[in-house]
Amino acid sequence: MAAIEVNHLFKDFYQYKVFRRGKLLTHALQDVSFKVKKGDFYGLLGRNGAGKSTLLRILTTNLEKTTGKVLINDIDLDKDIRSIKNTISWMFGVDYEGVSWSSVQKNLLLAAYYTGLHKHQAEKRVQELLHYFDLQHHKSLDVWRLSTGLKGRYALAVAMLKQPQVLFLDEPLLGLDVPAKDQVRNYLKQLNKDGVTIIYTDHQLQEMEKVCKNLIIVEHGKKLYDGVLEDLKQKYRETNVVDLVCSGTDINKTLIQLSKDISYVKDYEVLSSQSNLHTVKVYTNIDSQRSLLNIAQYLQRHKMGIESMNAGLLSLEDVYKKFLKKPRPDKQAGHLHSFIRAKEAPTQPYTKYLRASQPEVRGTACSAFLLHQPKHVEEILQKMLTQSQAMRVASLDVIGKAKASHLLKYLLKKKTHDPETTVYLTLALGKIGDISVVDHLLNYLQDETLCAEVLEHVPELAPNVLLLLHHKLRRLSRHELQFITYHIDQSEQKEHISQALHLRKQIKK
Amino acid sequence: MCCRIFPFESDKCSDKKPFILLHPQPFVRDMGITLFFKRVQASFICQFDELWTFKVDLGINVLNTLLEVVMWYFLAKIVDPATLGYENVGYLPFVLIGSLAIFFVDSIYNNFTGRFNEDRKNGLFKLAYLSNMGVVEYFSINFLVSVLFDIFTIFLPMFAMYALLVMLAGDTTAIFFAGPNIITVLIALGIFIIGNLGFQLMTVGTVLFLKEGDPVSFFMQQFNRLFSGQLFPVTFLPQFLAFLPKILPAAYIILIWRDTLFLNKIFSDPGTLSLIIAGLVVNILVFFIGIYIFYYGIKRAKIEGRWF
Repeated sequence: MAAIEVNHLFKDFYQYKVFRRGKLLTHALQDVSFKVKKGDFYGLLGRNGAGKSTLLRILTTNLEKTTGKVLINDIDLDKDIRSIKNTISWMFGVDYEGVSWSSVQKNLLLAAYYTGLHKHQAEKRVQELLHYFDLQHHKSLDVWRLSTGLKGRYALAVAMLKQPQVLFLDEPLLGLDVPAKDQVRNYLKQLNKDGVTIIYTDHQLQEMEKVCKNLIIVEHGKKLYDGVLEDLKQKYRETNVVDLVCSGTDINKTLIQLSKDISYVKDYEVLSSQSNLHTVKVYTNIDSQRSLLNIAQYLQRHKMGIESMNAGLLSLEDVYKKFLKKPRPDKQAGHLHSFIRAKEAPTQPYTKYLRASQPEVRGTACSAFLLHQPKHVEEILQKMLTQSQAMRVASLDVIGKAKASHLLKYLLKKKTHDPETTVYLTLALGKIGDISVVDHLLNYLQDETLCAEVLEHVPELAPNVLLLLHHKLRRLSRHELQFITYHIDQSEQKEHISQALHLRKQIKK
Repeated sequence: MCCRIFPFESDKCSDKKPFILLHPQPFVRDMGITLFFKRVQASFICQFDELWTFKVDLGINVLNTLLEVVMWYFLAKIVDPATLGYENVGYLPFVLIGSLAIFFVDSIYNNFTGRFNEDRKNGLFKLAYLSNMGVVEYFSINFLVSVLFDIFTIFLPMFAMYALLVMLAGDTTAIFFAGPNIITVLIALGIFIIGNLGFQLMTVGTVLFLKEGDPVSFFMQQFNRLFSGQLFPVTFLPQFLAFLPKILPAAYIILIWRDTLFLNKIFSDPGTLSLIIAGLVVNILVFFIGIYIFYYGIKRAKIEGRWF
């Protein structure tokens, strides 16, 4: 019997102008179907904006779907939301506070009555949960005094008051330290053993691996994988991998030659490179243990020193990356990343990618050549800024990653691009620690049309820029601060933004 | 002692965790009046903690109320009561009744919408929504808790200061406070609560679909202050504005309260009865419009992804 059944679920977001529906903003979910059996522990995995929170909010009745069918405990979401709400519960992050200036125990009692429990049931249940979640010693503390770890347990206790059959958790371990994570994880495992079906979202695969039995991977609103977590690993077992650390020059040339000379070497990837010491993954068609010796001998023949070598299978992290990775236009273009990591100049055949029509490929080529042919590449980057949206994004990405502040300042002065690009150039300067942009950033944050977009970049700003921005924000009026916090609350990464700006505490004060 | 007596206990027994999280029998959920009052009580206890923490705010609220009454006292000195249309009624009691009625509009109204916005942030409304708590019940809990607090921060200081000033000024206004008068006062208050609830739902609903801006609050506060008869009788309004008090719920409560307390017109009086019926119709209409806008606001927020 299925606890959750989702069939051909679609969700589109539109712009609204008071009563009129405007243009389509995004297809947040596209034809998502899956089933979760009773008692399962399901992980919902995806990057920021992949659609996992949208999916979770539809399942918890907090968001209306566009089309599709959703059954929770065999109850149709379109027909009886009230009955569904009687059987589910949720804990969204650690942001549940209740009346924050009152004690944990009183708040739990209030939540119990809100849930609809009788007086004697409520008091008994609160005592049980205080005991179960080790909150006995903290029951008299005001909720605002709780540490993030304790708040996580308190929020979980509130979610469990009503004995749900299905529990939805949106990144419940966010912001917790390692022991607190372990504790919450153990509680969740125990709950699942007791028969509660749990749907759990997280960005971090390692966390999923520790608790979930099954996994759904969502990307760009589409379901990429749905099944047992172990099966996912198993599925990619045919791909063998040789992990090696080697030293020497021209690692890319050697590895390109290796994949030409040895037929069972499928591909390679330079993961990192420092002082001619390279961490490399070589993918093979045959058992990597059998290929180990041949690869080692080949590299030694090409004057590469082998520091360590390991044959194995793809890790879950690799598998996940494989899922999310967009198909490469060709293998050769993919090698550009390895040149960037090794800080080696790409060879002549790769110059053709500086004229590639795909923005991503041209951007990667620019990154690879920037150190070695700066003037030529800077011209290309400037030209890209005046082209399509995707080209502009690719160009800004390259400039930002290269931390080329002189180029950014030059471009800002030149003003040959549109206002939107000016915002991104300013943000890029902020990310590399240029404090001259703080006033501009402050203006953007007070601008209705820019605030939301700029806030998304705030967690990536340099610490010195954030510090100055924080000081300037303190001088704003309460109303202006509330405007900014309103936009923070609308953001998916509100926790990160609040942490970076220390804004919430300031408003509470 | 082993925890096997609990049917769903896991294999790993420990003395530290002798409880199970899933009980064999599901909880019986009660929606009766007892549960409602338990909710009010629990909400009151928690919010009292919060109120007591901010003692300075509490003091400022009481001082504000006292100063407002003093302000009426000085106004009473310069306004001729005979011009107000109520014979032998001083300006001080005249404004007191209006201000009490306006209190139900402004103060409780602000508490309501403020509490709702606060509850949306701190998760309590999320819990109320998840628990299928009725909209009327949720707002009624907030209403009762607000009134309970306001007894101490507004009503009692207001009456104490008023009594003191009347004693000092030697005001001799007669206030009719017999059983039928009290019943009329309560009927008017009941009718007004319906309309007030409607306006609150309207405010919350409009904020939900407009995202920013609160035109209903503006309408409630400014129009009620100017056109409901708080500071002067509505008969003073020019002809082209005469329709305004008829659509303001607060105008009915002020008019009925003044008529019954100063002129001894009780609910059986034809004039008062027609006011009660007209007030009831307007307030019920406002309530249903409020419900519609509230549900529309929720629907929009749920479609646009701004609901939780």
